[in-house]
Amino acid sequence: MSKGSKFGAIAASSTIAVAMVASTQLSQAPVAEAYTKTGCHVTSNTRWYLSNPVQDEETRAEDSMINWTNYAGNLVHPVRWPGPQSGSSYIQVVAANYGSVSWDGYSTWTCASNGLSGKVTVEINRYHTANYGWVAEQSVYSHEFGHAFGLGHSGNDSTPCSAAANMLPNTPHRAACNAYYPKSDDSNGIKAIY
Amino acid sequence: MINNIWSRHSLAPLAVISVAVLSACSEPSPSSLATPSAQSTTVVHHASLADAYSTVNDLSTASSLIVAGTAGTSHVEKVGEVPFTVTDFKVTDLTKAPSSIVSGSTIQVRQSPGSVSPADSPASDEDAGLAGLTSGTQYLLYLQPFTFSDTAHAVPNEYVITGGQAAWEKTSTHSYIQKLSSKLPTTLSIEGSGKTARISIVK
Repeated sequence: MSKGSKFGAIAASSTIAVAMVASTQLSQAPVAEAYTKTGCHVTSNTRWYLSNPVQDEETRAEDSMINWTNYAGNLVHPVRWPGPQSGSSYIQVVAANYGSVSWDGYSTWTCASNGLSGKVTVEINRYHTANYGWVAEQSVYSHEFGHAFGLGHSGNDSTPCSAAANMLPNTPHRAACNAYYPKSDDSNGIKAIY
Repeated sequence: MINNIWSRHSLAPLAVISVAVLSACSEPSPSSLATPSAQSTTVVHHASLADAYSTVNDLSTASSLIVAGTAGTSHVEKVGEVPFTVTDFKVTDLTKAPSSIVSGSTIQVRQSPGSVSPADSPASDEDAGLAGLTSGTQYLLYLQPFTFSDTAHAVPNEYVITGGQAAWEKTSTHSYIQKLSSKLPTTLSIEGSGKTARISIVK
């Protein structure tokens, strides 16, 4: 093999190797992070309860909490509690008809200077959710619980379904993308917070 | 934005009410919680939107009332334990309206709970991704009837902002801008006045 051809072979194999590495990196490159943080977080083993449980609300809420435990670990106790408990942060879920206001879910929480949320209130607007299919309804519960754990909104109306997070702000968009449970972007956000 | 919310919304008198409301609604606070003190807390809101509108045409179709005018005083109405801000709005120009509403009419616009937060560090409607109204400010609004059931049983003379974001604030004689991050046009203009007013997209 001539020197030239040897270098040529090395160069060619190097090119292939670089191309393979680049290809691997490209195929493994994560979707650009879109998650945002509220700046608040909960303590471990956070409890939650429904103020006015009805059957489908319980199901949606419990399924959502179970989904979140896959990502949030022991941050949340997935089983619904009968009411606020001492010794832990808690999330109060209220499902009621708040009328034709623009939101179907609304979270409010106080955040102490150390970043801890003691109580999060999640309001589910039955005016809208009572007419939803289960995908859209569960996406609202899961979305609001994401807020409770410290995630802000992720993406916008232009976000493609391939990158859709449960923390997308609009329910029609989440439902169309089947983002009714925590997706990879949501998981990345939780890992970044805790 | 957070720091000047009370001057923007002119809701300082409501601070006392809202603190009282929130206190009355509070569950007993577990002793081991990270209980926020009045000086060290922030109140955060986030909303999940039930409808998504990205074009003025979609908004126009979905809205039963399209008006320009001035926001007036506000009061709080509770649904269950949730306080809502209801703001008087004096109509000057209208491009779509029932016959009962004319230039000079006063309607009421129901907003999110976000406007009524503890005075120590309040959040705003904008923080929740929703349009908020400031007393004395002029707006162009796309509105839907407020109801707990259907439009046939709407609360008389009370409306909500379509999709929660369809509010543009007046910046010059004809120009209105939106301050929220949305896919809706950022700038609209109104030509003409009264019932002959016409809306066009600037940007």
